[in-house]
Amino acid sequence: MSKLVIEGLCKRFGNAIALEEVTLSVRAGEFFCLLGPSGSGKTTFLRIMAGLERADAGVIALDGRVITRGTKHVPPEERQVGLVFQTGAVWPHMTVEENVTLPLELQQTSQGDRKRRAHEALETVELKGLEKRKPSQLSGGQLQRVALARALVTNPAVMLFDEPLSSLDTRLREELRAKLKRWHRDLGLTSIYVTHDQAEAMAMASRVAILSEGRLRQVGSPEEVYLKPADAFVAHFLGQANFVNGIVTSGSRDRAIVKSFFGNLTARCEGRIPCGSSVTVVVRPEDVKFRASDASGGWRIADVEFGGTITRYLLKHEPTGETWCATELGRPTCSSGRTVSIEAKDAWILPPAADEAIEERIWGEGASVG
Amino acid sequence: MPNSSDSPNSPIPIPTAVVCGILALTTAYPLLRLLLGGFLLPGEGFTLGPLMEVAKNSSTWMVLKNTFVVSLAATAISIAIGTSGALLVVKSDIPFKGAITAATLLFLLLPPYVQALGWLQLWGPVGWFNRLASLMAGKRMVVWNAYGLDGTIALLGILHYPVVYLSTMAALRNIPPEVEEVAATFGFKRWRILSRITIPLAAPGIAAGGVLAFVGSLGNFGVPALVALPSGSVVLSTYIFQQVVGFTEVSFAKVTILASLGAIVAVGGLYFQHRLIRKALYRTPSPAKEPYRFAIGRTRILLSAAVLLFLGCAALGPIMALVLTSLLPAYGVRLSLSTATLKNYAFVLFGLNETWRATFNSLVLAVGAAAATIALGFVVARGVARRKGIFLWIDRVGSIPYAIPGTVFALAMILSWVDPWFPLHIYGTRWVMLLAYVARFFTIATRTLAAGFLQLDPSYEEAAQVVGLKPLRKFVRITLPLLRSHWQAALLLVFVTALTELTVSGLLWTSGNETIGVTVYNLEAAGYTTYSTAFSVLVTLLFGFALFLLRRYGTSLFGR
Repeated sequence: MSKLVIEGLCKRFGNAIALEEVTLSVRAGEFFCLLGPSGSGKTTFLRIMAGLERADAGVIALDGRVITRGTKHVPPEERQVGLVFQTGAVWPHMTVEENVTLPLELQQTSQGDRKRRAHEALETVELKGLEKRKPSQLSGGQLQRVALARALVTNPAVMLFDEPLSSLDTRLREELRAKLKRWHRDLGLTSIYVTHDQAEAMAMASRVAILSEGRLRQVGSPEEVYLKPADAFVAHFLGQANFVNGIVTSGSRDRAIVKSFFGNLTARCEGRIPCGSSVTVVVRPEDVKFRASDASGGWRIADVEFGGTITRYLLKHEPTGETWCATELGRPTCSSGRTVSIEAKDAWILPPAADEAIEERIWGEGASVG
Repeated sequence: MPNSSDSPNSPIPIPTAVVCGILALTTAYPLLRLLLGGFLLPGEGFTLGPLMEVAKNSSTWMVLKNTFVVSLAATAISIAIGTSGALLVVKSDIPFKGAITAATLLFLLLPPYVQALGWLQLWGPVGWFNRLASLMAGKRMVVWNAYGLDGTIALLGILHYPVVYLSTMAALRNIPPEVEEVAATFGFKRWRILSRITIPLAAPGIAAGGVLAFVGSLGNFGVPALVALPSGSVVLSTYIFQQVVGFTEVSFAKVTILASLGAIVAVGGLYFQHRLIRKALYRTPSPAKEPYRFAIGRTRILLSAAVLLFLGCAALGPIMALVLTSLLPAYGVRLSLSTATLKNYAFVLFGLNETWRATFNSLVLAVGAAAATIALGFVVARGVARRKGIFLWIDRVGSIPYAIPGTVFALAMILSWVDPWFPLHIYGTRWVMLLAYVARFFTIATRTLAAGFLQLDPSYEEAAQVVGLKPLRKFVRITLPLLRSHWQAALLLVFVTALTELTVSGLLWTSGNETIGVTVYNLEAAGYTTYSTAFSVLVTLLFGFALFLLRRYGTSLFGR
């Protein structure tokens, strides 16, 4: 059942488009990640969800109740959503306990009951014992957990997270990421999580939506969006990718042979693509296999970067000047300057409908890696 | 579906509309009356007659000449003192920096008429300086007589140097130390770095402070009224006062034309100052670092002595003189331990009906003005801080009554409210003074609160909304406590300014509605100097207390 339905959501700030016809639905209990670079409109989306910003057009329905229709909306205080801000926004003039109790003040319950519920929420986020502390005495990770408890305590219909981990250091971020995931599993709260960090989104989400320049590019499970990107932007944004243009020479419903500048490639695809079609193929660096050989293939190792768990190789196709990236687990096995031959173990043909303007931009930047 | 209050698409919310209405009544309408008053005459319609008369009248030219000579000369003094003070405090290793800034703030805050009275007791013809000189010379002599335009210029210059000082200090602190350090690596000596790097970079800040000092001197009433008026010299603010209080002219047309001129100069000046400030503060964004300091070596001792001497003569001296005079049994009597008396205080406190009446009036007005301006300020300050269109206009228009000379604004209020056709008959009551105070001090409250909102992360309030707090509860539980130091500072600033106000109340008071300032002025004007000084000492004590509260709660306002 769809918990949250968003249809045709639009928002402009002056001439700048923040959201353009965004349509999606979120299932009950889902952990839904909204992923996009900064300025893609993801925070605006979340603020409209919370009622802090008005939409220009579109409908949002939560549990079947319309909370936004065009420029009219239910104000934030009547929406029953929980929002965890990027900065936490833990009220600095109140203790931890007061922060978590205040949202309950409006409810017709006794003070004892409110305290009990606040303590429950604090226990959930593992902050028991810190009730009387002031925010200035807490660490960044603890502050975010207070913010989470404060959002949880009113039992919101949906939880919204606005990059809550981005101000923490790497180690703490990973720790809290795992905890968030566990708490979500335990509480089963429908959550929308906004981030620009693709690793975070992949690690946490049941489904990911990729947003760019206010437009929804693709929605799907982490595996789906990684293995079957809808366009070059998505492929590019979800990790390193090598792109190659080619012509389909033969194919079936889910597989095709593509003739490219360095030979034939077997690539996955969705639906039969007619022979002779010009397509773009994505090859992930971990799927690029190479071995030392003579110079007949034209490939040479231009650079080797040792990164601990993996080693990255920059491979240059000398006749065309194309540069590809390949990664291997473990220590370097080949040194710079060697000539190699390569093979793509896996590849994906971008659906032909993909926006060509975006592709052009990516090719224009010459960015086949990163 | 209900509407939330801060969307650009929704119609103007009710509180904002109320503020606009109040400002229209207390600010926009009076200012319009002021601008038109010299050209639209009852029964005659539009006429240039009064303008012609003003242009032909030699006495009005004299007033204008005096006004600009006094303001410009005072500004020059303010710039000289303020710039040197700021350079010493920010750029050198002189001791007692905190004390210098504290004493400087005293000039800014103590009511000008109290300082003028003290100034006259120190430097007047029978003041303590001339008495000391006579004693030493063995014969009666007057080294310098502070009454007159020269004394007015000197005192206005001193009273307004703090604005140059603060503005220059901000500009100097904004200079990244690297630009001076790199000059030092080229082998530049102190004076060359100062004159080629430091001062040019701080120049917009110095000029901005200078404009503020000019506008302040132009609008000041207490000083020219007490120091220049007795010797027959008239400037714009005292001219308006004479014309209005003396009702020497049946029509206010001529004085209105001069007053509008003063208002336009003041507003133009402040617009210019605003532009300068942006130039001074936004060009070199590296404020976190400690400024580059010049070691001045042994000159420190000499310069410290000079600073102490100046503060002694200009700040401590007048207050001491005020206290000494207030202890005299009669003006002109020699003071000794046996003649010193507290009977002036006894009389002011217990023998004079006006004292308590005026204190009560001033308290009522100050409390009313503080409460009203804070309430209005809260409605608009968030919008001002977020730079939203309509609020910026409210802020601009709302700052005019404070920017223009107080007597000019009082005249505008009179022009608006004496009209019998206007349905609100409040002229001659305390209400017209309250309206004038609210209009005049609105900008103090708004700007102070806007500074608070600027520092306040919007997500604190948004978080309150999202967890379900209704607007009023959000305001009481989140906004008020988080902005506590700002609204307390705004409250105190408006309260103390209104409590000791003289300029506007001097023109708007009627018998029974006098304020503290009016009472002190009337005592002095009637020649009861021992009483006026005693009352002033009491006002100063009140101010000392207020200053203590300000320093305690308003630290964010003054930087440190």
